[in-house]
Amino acid sequence: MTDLPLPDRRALAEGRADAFAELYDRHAVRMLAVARAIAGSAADAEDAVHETFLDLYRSRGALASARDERAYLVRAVRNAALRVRDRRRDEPLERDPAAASSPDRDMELERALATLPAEQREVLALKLDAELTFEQIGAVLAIPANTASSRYRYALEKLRAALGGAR
Amino acid sequence: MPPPELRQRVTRGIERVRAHERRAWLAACAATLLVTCAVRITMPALETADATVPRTIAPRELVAIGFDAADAERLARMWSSSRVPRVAPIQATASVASFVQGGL
Repeated sequence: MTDLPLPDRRALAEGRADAFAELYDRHAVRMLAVARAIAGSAADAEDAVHETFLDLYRSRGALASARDERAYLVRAVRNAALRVRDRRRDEPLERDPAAASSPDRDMELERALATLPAEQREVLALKLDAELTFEQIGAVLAIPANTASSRYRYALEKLRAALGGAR
Repeated sequence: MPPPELRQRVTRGIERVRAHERRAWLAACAATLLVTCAVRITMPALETADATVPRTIAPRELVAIGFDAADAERLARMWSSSRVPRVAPIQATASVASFVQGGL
């Protein structure tokens, strides 16, 4: 997520449509990537982003006064993605990378990501897609920053092994 | 890149939430107005500028304590024409009699 400040906080607090449109345009790409890493499918990720923006609108007072905007948005989309994923718990998880992946991602990379434990996949998304620091990741996941760093390192090692073994 | 349909979906969703909040706010205002009107309609006595009650006494009550009929009628008329603040209601005949004996 960019370092640009949130759209005018007052406009957000007032619930103005243009402020939320700007918020979407700035952050939807990254939020969708984080949601996909957690929810597992593109469709569920879109549902999560949709729910997140409705929640952001309903709690627009808190959004306008958020201290760390980036972590706030990531935490919001993460919670929504977890809810979407939990609702589908009884349904077979769509793990076919060809169906779930974005055209922007390499198919081989998608398959390698699918082999990672969920918590490592999540940290990768928060670090690489949401561009959070380990401190921010720790705040979002309620874990120490060192733990976030360790999960990130293990994820990269597993990814390297999965990609190296495929070749 | 997110599909364009997602942006439209988010925009429509926010519009629905906004409309729902507006309806809820209007309903709350209407309920408050209704309760206020209901209070005013059912409790008119509280709104009278002249919060007094007419005081009456039956002449036969005065006759019963020793008044002659003519004096009882005159006194009863005097009481009926006066108005007192809404405080305690007129008490029993005995207290009226003690007032009459002491004041008139």
